[in-house]
Amino acid sequence: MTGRALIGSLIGGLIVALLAACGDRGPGAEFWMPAELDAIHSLWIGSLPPLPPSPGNPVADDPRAVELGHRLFFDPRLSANGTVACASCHRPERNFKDGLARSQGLGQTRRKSMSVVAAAYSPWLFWDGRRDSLWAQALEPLEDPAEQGLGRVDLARQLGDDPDYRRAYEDLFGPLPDLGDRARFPSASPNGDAGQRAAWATMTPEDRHRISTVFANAGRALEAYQRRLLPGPAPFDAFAEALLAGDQARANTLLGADQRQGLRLFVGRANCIHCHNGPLFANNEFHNTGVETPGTAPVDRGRADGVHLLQADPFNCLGPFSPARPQDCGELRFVKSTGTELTGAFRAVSLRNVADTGPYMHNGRFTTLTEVVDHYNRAQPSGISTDLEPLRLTAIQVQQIVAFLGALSAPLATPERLLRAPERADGVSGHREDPATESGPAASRNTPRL
Amino acid sequence: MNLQRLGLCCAALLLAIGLAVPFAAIAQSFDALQGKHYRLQVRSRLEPIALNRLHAWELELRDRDGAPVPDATITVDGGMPAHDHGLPTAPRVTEILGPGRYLLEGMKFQMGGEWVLNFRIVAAPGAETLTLEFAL
Repeated sequence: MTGRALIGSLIGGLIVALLAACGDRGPGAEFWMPAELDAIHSLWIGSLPPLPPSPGNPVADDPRAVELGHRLFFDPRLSANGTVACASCHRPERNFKDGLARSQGLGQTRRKSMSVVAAAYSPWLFWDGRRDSLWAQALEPLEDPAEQGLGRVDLARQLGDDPDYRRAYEDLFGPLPDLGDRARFPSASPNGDAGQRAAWATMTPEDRHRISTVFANAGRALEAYQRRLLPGPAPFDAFAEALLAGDQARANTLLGADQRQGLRLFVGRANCIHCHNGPLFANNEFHNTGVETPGTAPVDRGRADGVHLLQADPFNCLGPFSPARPQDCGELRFVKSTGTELTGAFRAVSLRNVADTGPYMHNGRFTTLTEVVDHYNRAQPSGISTDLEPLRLTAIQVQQIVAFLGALSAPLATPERLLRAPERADGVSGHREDPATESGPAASRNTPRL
Repeated sequence: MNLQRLGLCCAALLLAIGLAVPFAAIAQSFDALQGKHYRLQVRSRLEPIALNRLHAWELELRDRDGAPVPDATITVDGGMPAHDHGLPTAPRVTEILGPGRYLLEGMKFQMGGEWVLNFRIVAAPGAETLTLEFAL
């Protein structure tokens, strides 16, 4: 028997013994089975392991990279029109999401923005997992014409032209290339608009590689910052600690009766824990839950397309810009790339701080958590196959699960200063609060690439 | 506390231990899979198997007489029949560890519940598929 099982058994046994010895069999008594306690232990934030390494990012845990990434994350100058930062769609006050069904950058994104809190724990990024590291993920929005639309060369130039950025970058990664020759280094990007792509094609392979290396390094700094965005202990965790310590009386003061019933359903017959497992309440793998976007054709194929984008991504773990060794790239080497279940499958994401941060699902289909749980409860047949079976929960039970999800909200375990825009050297905050509402959706000259 | 209650406590404790063991320990040691041509012993290098962690298994293949079977081609698939999906990864044999011993890399399980693994074996004695069923 493992230590974990032994602890679970002893705790379970003690609770059973306590109930039996005290003769407390009144209607108010609660009984947690050892399997339930084991599940609760697995969900408890104390079970969260240290951050996994980022084998493609030598500066992933370098405080200097955290500082640079912090500034880059909130800097709207890193966009074609100077109004869109990473933080525009990943807003700290909204659990690093944006409250929109589809995000608004220079254009509109195809899917909903995802929280980046604890994203460093996931082997896959984006709803379809088309990137396999947080640094590779951070690159796509920078040059996506629907998001920040900044040419890859323009980003390198921004880093070189800003003395603070240049100093910080070169301290971490070595000298920036000399981009003084604008004919040799035009405003260019392989994934930008038509003009940027055409300009990219005029550059030599060596110069493209130089620029892409700077681009990748900017992503590495952004990853270093985002690795610091971690969930803090929530009311559920305090409850779990008390319960696992055998203090049920205290535990019951930490979660309401409805929340406790919701927890029991969550780890039991509602099957939530199947995919939302572990201390982040997420397995970060791909599931078809039958959430379609009404009126759209073709159907969003999710992981079925995402896995091929991942394999073709030059910034993946095995790619030319990654220093990782093949043995460090197991997830990519053994990635599943075929199978009908990949179609319409999207990543199961963390439920920590899920309350009041809707809309929900990859397409923002549901406004409230009640709608989400009701979707799983009814499991109506959809145009695409689904993993789900109807749960046959009552309306009260649906609300109990929603109540429990409210017990997963807590301030992040991240220094407060990292949760707001850093002050620039000139004293100006780098990030405008809401570019979409301040200036209107920046001229939608572009359509989403994905 | 009288003796009757003490007995009840002990019984409850034993019951709790008995209930808890399968959830943590069931997948740690598997009985050998016995087929017409082969006997396959599988063992996870990650013990106990934890959800969402990529890991490797070791396979030991013997023929019906107990002799190690080298040079076999072993492929693996499987999944969760209750959820109608396959494995989350594409595991494969990557290394020969010794006579009849193979390293299977890329194993991962992303959900608790009933799992099925099919080991398709092709070697001199013949082709055969051996199936392992277990719960996580």
